[in-house]
Amino acid sequence: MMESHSARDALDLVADARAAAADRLVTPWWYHPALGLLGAQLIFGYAVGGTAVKLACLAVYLLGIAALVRAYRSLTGMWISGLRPGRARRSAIAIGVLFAVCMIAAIVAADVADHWWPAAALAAVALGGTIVLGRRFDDVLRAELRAGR
Amino acid sequence: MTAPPEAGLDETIHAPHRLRICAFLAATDEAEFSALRDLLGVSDSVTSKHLKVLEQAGYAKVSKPTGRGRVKTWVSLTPAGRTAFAAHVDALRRITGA
Repeated sequence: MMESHSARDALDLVADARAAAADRLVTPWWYHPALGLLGAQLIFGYAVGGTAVKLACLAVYLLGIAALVRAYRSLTGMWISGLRPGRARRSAIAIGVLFAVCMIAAIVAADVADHWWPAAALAAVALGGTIVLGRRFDDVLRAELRAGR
Repeated sequence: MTAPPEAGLDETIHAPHRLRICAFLAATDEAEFSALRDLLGVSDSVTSKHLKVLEQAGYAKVSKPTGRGRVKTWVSLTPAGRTAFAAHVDALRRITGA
């Protein structure tokens, strides 16, 4: 039968490993601005551009996301999905919702107002929101890992 | 009727190095081999040995993506590994009364 103190030692090892994962979760400073810029150029290009511009922006977005994921994995040596259960998921979902709302609003605004600046403003909102929410996601995720959730 | 405190303890997972590997992998979706080696503070061969045990138990999946450049080995817990690790930690908590 296992003694209580050895079980406690084992739980300490588990907590230490989770803390080590949290410590490795150091997102490079440029990651969220780059993610936001990729989203912003897609919003602006889709709202005001022609078919060729839309396709080019989509290609830049997809290639850019792939490059960001590869760089993140290479630098941190790990990958944690933003959609895993927990409080951090709210920030990841909020980024997606913000992006979708800004995209729809930019397309409608460009269509109705026939100006480029509302789309540019909404792209800037998406950029800023991605940086703020992305950094919040990291903070919450680190706290969750340390708390053992 | 409640489960006995030790129900769910898994000998494969309980060895300290493997317990730490499982805890690290449970906190992530995937981790690179060198991250696990750094966590344990042991050699590549010792890390490989423990990963092999977890892989043979069906608890870990080790993959080496092919392509250009330096090949890195990535490791993840399988669904069975996640379930076994969660049951193991629950059992440890019952034993300590946590």
